[in-house]
Amino acid sequence: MNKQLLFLISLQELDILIKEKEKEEEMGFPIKPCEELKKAREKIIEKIDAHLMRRYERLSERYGNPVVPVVDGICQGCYMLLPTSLISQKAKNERIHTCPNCGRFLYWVDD
Amino acid sequence: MKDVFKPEFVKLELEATTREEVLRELVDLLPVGDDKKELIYQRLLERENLGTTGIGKGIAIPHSRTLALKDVFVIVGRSKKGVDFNALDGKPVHLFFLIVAPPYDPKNRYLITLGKIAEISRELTRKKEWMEIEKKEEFVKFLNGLLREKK
Repeated sequence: MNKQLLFLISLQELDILIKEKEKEEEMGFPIKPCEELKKAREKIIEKIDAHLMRRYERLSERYGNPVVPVVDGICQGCYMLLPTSLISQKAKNERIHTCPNCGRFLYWVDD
Repeated sequence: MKDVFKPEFVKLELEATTREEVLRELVDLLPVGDDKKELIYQRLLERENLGTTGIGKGIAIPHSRTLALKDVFVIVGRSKKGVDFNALDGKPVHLFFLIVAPPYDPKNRYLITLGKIAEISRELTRKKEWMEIEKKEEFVKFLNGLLREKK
């Protein structure tokens, strides 16, 4: 898998944890304080190319989920069917692809 | 609601002796390819490093959302010997509930399932008969029964 894509996925998963932190703590799971989670976030961000990070932040503000899976050729962010030229490519997770409709970063679960 | 626990996702005799080995052994039961198992394992390890899911009294609930999956999965593992999982009370863990889910599940099954399992875990710390059950089917029946009582 493309390393930049992997970092983007990790960043989004950490962002979700930050959002769900309070709920998890209510269930009895201790999580490090917000400052430490933010430090972990900064460490991932350092590894992401600046132009990808700018796009991630823009998409995050607009949609909340900047990286989405593709299932049966459909972007799971905007539910548009992706073009055949994109779907038919091999080793799709080896490159950064974005949805031509909503612009979200795409990840193929079955690739 | 369908049964949360299924015999095919249960391992009653875990061989693992470390936290990392437990996570790998549990992840190994997931019906996905090796590359995805590695992603899920790494994510669970990162999650553990942000705060242990070893809630004490012999139970741990490692969990995470991950883009590598399309559905919510619950895997159960038991270790009679117990494993050091960096639990809150420092004691070895004997029962593991691994919960993994996609980042966005429309019915929010992940948090609901996590909450229910956290709830029955408190009961499991009092009822220790799960240590003696030898058949997966009976084990699953016992756990699903506890969940139903909580509805």
